[in-house]
Amino acid sequence: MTPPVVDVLPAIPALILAVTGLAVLLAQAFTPRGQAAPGAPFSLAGLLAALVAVYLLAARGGGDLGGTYVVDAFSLYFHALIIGVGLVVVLLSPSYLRATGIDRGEYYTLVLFSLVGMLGLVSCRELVSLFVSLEVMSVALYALAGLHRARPESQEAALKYFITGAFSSGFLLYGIALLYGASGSTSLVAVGAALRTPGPATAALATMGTGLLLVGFGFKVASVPFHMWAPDVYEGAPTTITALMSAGVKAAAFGALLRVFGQALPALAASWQPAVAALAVVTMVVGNLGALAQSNLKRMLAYSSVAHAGYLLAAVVAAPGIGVEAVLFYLVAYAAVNLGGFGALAALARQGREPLSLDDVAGLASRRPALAAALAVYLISLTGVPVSAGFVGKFFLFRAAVNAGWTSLAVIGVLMSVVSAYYYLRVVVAMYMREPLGEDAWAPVPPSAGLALGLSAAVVLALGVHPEPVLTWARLAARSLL
Amino acid sequence: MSPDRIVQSALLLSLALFVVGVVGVFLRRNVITVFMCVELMLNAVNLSFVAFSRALGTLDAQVLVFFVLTVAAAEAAVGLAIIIAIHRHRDTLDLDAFNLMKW
Repeated sequence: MTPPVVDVLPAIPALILAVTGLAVLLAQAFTPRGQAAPGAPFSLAGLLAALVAVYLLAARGGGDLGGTYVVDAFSLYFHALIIGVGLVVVLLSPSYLRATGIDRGEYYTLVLFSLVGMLGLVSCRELVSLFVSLEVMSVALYALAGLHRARPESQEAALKYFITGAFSSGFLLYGIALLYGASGSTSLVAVGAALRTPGPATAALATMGTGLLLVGFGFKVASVPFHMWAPDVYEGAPTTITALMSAGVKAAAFGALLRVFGQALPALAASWQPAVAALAVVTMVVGNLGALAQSNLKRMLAYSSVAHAGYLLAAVVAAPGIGVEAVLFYLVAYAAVNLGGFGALAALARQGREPLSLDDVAGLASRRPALAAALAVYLISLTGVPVSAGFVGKFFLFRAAVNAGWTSLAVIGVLMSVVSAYYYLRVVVAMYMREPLGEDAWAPVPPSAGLALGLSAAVVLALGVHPEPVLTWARLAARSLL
Repeated sequence: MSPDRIVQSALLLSLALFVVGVVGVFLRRNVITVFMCVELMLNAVNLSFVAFSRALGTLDAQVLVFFVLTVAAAEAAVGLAIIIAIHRHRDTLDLDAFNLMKW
């Protein structure tokens, strides 16, 4: 018997990141005690190499790895997004890690490992690799959330993330087991085919399995009522890791959600669409109302990220069709905005102190005009004001919901966006209309973080003015899912 | 017992164990006990994988069980490290004590 020939080329971007992570770890081992290995340059090199590999794979037309890991237009779209998120996070990190005293090599290793998990998550064509990728991503993030060992909040965040994460994995895994029991296969396409002609027993198993999967994914994308961990974890984790979680994890989880529900469960759409719609409504409402009550900006952005999971779910309801491209486009806009928002907060950190209250940013515009302008751009985009990526993205999300016959979702989404203007623009007003309290308490923005923030702001504005190229690509990616 | 009966009983047992795990996560306040309840959930699912595998006559799910075991071990390593770190700081493992930020 000859062993099957496996083409590993499609996994090259993930492999590059994994090897880079190991290299950083090794470099740290050979660095004198108390010093940090040059993790950031290593990681940047690895991420750029992975991006080139993605480009070459795209030119080659993708491929797949033994039926478990597929690189099609959908995966490539997410690969580029996730590696881009990784680049921005690594650019933001060195100055933040120095300011908070957690500058250690394993930080970059764990970031790269979690990115590997995200790449796997959006490329899985099979439920086993879905579970394994999800855990590769999550286990690295549990450790990252608690990396700031001197800060009790960070430890608490790690613990809460770990408990809720492991708990939700249990639901996801049970869902996988029931789908396997119903269809006799773990391949998404085979599950989809088997469920098209179900017997009565299979139908019951499959419906239960779908419900459990939805709970599992609900935790991962932080949708209400499975969101209670998100504000605490986002607040307690190191700010650059919060940026990674809000941009990267959300993108990867929605990618996996679309793939599983689009390829394996279209036959059950009639039973999961109302459930997703209900989740979308409560998530939009609770997320936005929760954000209204926050005085800590990091926690406010955490609730805002819950609310945005709701907007995205509103388009997932329309998933088999036009919804997918709307979600894909919005994930890029959303990632740029959140990396910018949390990145700007990280850039303000100085010597163990992180200015995170509304008073802390009062008058920021007079002392750090560029940073204030960038933060204003992100906040305006989160609100969904025209000529920003957020407006275009929300327009497509809500249009998808309306086209699929869920007009009420779009109406609630628009109303909640209006509510959100209050808490987003309150920050802009504080930065521009108020006088700074006391002496200049803000750190100068370091060049690498400045580059990352500038890039995010440029993406936000570019997508707002000229969304066509990304939209075309998103459409192509969505089509490969069918 | 006929093979069908065995599979059916195993599936019911797995469901019961899973529910015990879920309820335990909500009711228990000690972090270690909560973690053990999560592990109980994962192993309950393993049991149903094996049962389905027997019922369907395929080996896929039995291979899957090894993946789950490995992943659970990795998760336990990181999770216990987090628990030790927080215990050193706070000298307690009571979930209700971890309220610096509201849940």
